[in-house]
Amino acid sequence: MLHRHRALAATLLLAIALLPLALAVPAEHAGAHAAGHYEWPLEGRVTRGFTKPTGPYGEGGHQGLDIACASGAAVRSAGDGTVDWVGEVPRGRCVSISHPGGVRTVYLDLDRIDVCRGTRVAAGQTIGTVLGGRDVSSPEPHLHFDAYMNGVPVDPHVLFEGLSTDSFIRLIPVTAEPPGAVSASPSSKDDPGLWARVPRGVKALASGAVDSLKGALRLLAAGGIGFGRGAAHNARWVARQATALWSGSICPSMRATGRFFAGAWRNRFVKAVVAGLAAALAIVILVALAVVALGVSLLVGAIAAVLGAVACLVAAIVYAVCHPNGFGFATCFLRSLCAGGLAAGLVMSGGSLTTAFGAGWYELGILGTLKGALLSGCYSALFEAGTSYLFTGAVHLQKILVAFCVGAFSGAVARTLLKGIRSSTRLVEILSFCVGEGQAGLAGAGQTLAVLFDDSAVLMRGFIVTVRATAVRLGVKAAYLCFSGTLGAGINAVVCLATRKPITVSGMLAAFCTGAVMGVVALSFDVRGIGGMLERLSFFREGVGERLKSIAATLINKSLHKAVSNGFKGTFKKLFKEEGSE
Amino acid sequence: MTRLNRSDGATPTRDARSEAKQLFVMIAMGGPGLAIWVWGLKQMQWAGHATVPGVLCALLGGLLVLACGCYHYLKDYSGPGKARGIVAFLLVTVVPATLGVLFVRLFVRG
Repeated sequence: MLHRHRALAATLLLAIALLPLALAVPAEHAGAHAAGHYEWPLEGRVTRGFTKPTGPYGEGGHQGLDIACASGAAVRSAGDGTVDWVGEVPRGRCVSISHPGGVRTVYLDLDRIDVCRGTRVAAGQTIGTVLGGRDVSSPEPHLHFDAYMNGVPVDPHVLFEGLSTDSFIRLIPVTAEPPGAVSASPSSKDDPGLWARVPRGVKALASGAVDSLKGALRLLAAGGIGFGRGAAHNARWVARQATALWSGSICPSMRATGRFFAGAWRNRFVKAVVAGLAAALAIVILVALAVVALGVSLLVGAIAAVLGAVACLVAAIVYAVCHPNGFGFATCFLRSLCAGGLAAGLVMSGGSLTTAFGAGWYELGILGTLKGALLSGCYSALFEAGTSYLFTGAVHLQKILVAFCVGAFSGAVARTLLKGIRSSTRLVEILSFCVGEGQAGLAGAGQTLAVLFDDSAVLMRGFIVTVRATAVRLGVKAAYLCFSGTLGAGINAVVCLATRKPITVSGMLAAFCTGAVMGVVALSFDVRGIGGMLERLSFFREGVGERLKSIAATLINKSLHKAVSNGFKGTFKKLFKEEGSE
Repeated sequence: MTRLNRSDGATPTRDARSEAKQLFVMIAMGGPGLAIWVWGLKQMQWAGHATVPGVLCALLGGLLVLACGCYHYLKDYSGPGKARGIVAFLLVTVVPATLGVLFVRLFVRG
């Protein structure tokens, strides 16, 4: 069974292999079985043989044989057939005879023609005589003899000598067939062949289809090759343009930009601005986080961010101005960060407390007093600086600060007095009560002052308690810590001014951090601080223990404050490389 | 009841938020104004004479402080009793400022 299939496949392969061959050389195939039925049209030497034409109209070759002969020699029909055309062509008079099997012979350049169209002729029958003068393909007189198979010019020798089909068998895939196997392939000698059995229309159709397929494939290949070449050309052009752009524009621009930034980076003010901007960015991010996490007012946060960023830039530039030698980017950044953080913390703590206790401050009239104090302080500092410059040509910051503080205090007092006199505040009520009761003189004044101080003390205690309790209740512990830190920094500044010591960044930061830490201590143990911690021991709850509790709490607080303060001072001094002490 | 008493708790015409806002506006104008004023004067001092940037900075800072005062006056002291408001404003601001300058001149040596 397997061998049978192999034989069948071999047959199919034979058919497929023969199909294009048959399309290419149908005459040879046909001539094989036409051999023996034709004879030469005249006796003579072949002066020019058959050459296959290269063009579709016979150009580039010689479609026949030139048989030398004398003029007037008789021309015979090469085989049995029918004259299908007689006439004049540019190369002379011509006779065409159709033979069985699709064979046609042509005799050219005749002088006399003895047949006419439709005449049936037999092989060897004279059809005319040779003129042999007008056909210039050979120099001597000759008969031009053509043969066609199915319209395709073939070498006329195949008519007389035949064509062995053994040459085709060489194309068949040779397989060792087992003995006894039935061959499906027909015998080449007995069978006219697969191609001969195919009708002419089908052949033409197949030929056309194959030609079309070839053309399409050729076109497709040409298109693909053209497309590929075009794409490659375009890719090369794009690559060349990109290389030129990179080497001509981008690379030099980047190098110039890099050189510019490298040159600019050598300037310490540029470094300072960059450090200040980086610190400002960090401050803004921190403020934004505080606004989101701690519920700080958006307005307060915006003001804190702006002032913090400005403080960062100012601190960085001041550092660059003050350090022409030994400028350090990291130190500048840290200083800017600290300055910005201090400014932002001040604003946020003040703003948060103002927002939280605004109503209370409003009720107490503190906001109005603060406004008056601020304006008076500003005016006082303005006058002091102006007069100092006008009179002495110099401006002293310490004097300006003192003038500001004195002016602010005076303004607050003036505002309180003015408002009290006008609006019957508690002070006026007390004074009126004293006057109304007729208590005049030193006794009355002393009593009034005692009541006033006592009332102030109550007011301050109430304020502090309100601040602490509300801070805890609202969960704004961070605001309280900022407040305590700011308070510590402010106290440090006042102490420095009073003792004529320089105000340094490390000292201010240490004071701020110490104040914040002490704020944490104060908020611990249910907002009772160290006292709350001691109260957990039963010994400190009553009697002597209660008395000792306040002493122990004071000592612990002072020791803690001292230790924390010293620790922060040492750390910040090392960090900022500052010498001296506060 | 005059407008002078706006910061008083008995006057319901102004709430704490607007009062705090006024305070912040005054801080934002007065603080930088004073700093620029002093910095401009320092510039003039360092240069030995009145340089253009120093003068401009000092003028700008002084104008900011004066604007802060005008803002405070308009918000708290302007009203029907104009003369009384002006007197009260001067009493609250100019007199304490003068006191501060005198204090520095008399008691602080530098």
